[in-house]
Amino acid sequence: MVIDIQNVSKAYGNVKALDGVSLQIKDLDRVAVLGESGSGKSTLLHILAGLQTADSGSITCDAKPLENKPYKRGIAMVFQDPALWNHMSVRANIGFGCPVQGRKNRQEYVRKLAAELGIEELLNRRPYEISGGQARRVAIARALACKRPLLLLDEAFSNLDEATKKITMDVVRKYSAGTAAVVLVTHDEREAESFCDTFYRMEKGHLT
Amino acid sequence: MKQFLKYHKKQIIGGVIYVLLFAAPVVTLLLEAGNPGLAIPNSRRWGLLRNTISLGVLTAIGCMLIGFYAAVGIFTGRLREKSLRWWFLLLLPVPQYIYALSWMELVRLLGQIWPSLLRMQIFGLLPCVIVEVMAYLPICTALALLGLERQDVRLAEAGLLCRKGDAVLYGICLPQMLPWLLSGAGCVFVLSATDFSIPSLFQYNVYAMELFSDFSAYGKAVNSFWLALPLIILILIVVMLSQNGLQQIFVPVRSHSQVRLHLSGLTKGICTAAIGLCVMQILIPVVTLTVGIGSWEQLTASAVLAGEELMISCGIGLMAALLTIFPAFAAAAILCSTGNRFLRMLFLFPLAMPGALIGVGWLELLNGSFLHGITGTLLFPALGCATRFMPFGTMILTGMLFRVDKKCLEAAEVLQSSKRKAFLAVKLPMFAPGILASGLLVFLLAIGDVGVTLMTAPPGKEPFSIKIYNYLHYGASEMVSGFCMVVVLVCLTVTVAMIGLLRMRKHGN
Repeated sequence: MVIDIQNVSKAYGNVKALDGVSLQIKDLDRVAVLGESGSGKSTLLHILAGLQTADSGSITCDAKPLENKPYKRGIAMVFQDPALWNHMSVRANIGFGCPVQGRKNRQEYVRKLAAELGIEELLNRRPYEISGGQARRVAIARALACKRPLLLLDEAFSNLDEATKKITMDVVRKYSAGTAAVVLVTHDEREAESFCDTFYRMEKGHLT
Repeated sequence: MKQFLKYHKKQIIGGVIYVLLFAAPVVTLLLEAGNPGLAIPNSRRWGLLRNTISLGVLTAIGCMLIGFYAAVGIFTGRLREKSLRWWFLLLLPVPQYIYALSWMELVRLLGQIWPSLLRMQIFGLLPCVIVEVMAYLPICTALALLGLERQDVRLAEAGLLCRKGDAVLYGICLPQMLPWLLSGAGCVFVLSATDFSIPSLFQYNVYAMELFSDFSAYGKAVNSFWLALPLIILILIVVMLSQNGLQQIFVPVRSHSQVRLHLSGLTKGICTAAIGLCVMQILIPVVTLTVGIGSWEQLTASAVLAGEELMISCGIGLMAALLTIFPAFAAAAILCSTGNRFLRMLFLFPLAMPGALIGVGWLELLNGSFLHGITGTLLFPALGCATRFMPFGTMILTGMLFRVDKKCLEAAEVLQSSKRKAFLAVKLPMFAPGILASGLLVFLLAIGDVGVTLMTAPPGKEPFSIKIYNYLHYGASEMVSGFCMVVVLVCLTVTVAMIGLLRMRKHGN
């Protein structure tokens, strides 16, 4: 699978968030997009996920245009805010998009994933009963459980202490290895270096 | 445009239905040959308009002042941060003419102790203002409290470092609350200006009553519209002026204030008095009606006697609530996505239409058309009530949609395995409180409505509100007290049931 982003531009009023961005994401790539706040990183991910539309440019997957509906694009995403559903338990949040067949199998998969991320004991709690760092790991587990071929991480490891960050990165590496390409958006260069193979820098809507 | 249509097709359909619901009866009225000259009031109607403005302005100012101090008292009291702080909303759904009755009943009861009180003639502007202030006080108090709780806490804290609590309250908190207070006052003015049930009980002539009497006397629907035009323009101006406040209500503010204001003895005293009025607003109807009924048997007798009318009213309320859900939700979604001022005015327009005029418009539209059969069913008053009360549902749903965490909806869009699952598991539970609250409000308003149902009630199917309204003109009696208590109990039961339902998922997004 090759995702090809060509000359994508997006403006909010007079402010250009993306200005002719081109980028290629190949199968199983781990790509980092670095940049300051407001440089357009999150906008790029939202356009890739189908949550926003570009003003111009094209995005193709294996030379075919991407589906319009976000859930048909084969993309999972960890948002900058965890965006957990408070009316569901942590278990239901993680299992929401999980394609594993059979309730028992799915629950076991969710439990195993949660155990690896150190949040197994939180499974029966509600998102408002857990801390910010725990919520972030739940959001990561929720995206990994979807088993999609492209994983978008929007500042996914921020708010985590160094030890937890390392464990979480290892889990993401393990679950995406051989199955998914990953795009990590971050302002932390060390984080990007320890996780990704390819690096881009975003400055005022331009990708370098 | 193509993109817009693609993403908002359902909203556009709902929005068109919304506009058709109130535009169709108005356009029908305008197609008839009438007398546009009636739009220019003669000296008598100027007087009526002046009466309407006086009543509306005094009621709005009274509610705003008392509501502000009551909210400050609650905010600085022991109940802050507890759900019980909303106690003053307990009787909000009770129709205003029941307040009128309870005050009449109070005078009657006190008259047994001081007979001179019974000889007093209670009519005119003052009793109307008192009753309307008490009836609408919960609206202003609730908005003032919301305004206090949602202000930027840092501004008040910065002020408290250099000035006393009173100076911070009037110099920093009050200006921040002003949009909320003004929108509350605007709402109260509109409700007061379009209602004629209380003024007619206290023999105070207002413009809304004129519309009803003119149609009853001459049966010329189009003239009712031309006659109503000055009132519609007046209300639209008020809605426009308070729009800024409404805009503030829609915008979510996340910083909940925890600031402690240490107020002076005088301000505390005024706040306590305002809270006392809020307590009276609940106690007077409950106590006077209970005493007025006299016995449990009388209450059950009233309920049995009015059983059929009560069922009719509930049926109308339920149908009106169901009819409004889709268009009100669509209108709210459009307002959330565009924030367009013209569209906001358009969707709030039915607020400016007196209930009687909406009823007359629908009557004119359906009479003689192939849909004439509807006029003989309960769907007819339900349609009228839905048209009249849709803006209230839209306001609640708009507030709800602004507060829903968009990221959670986006997460469902991306991570869902099927659209059905995302709708049932994420979207519906997130929207349910707003939809239920909006439906509840329309249901309760329709149950208590007199203006629309008076014109649209089918023959032989008298709603409960009309029955009470007719009885009220003969003065307070055990039977009327019983009827009113039944309405109070129905409103309370439905409200409590709905709150219970919402509390089951209290901590939802």
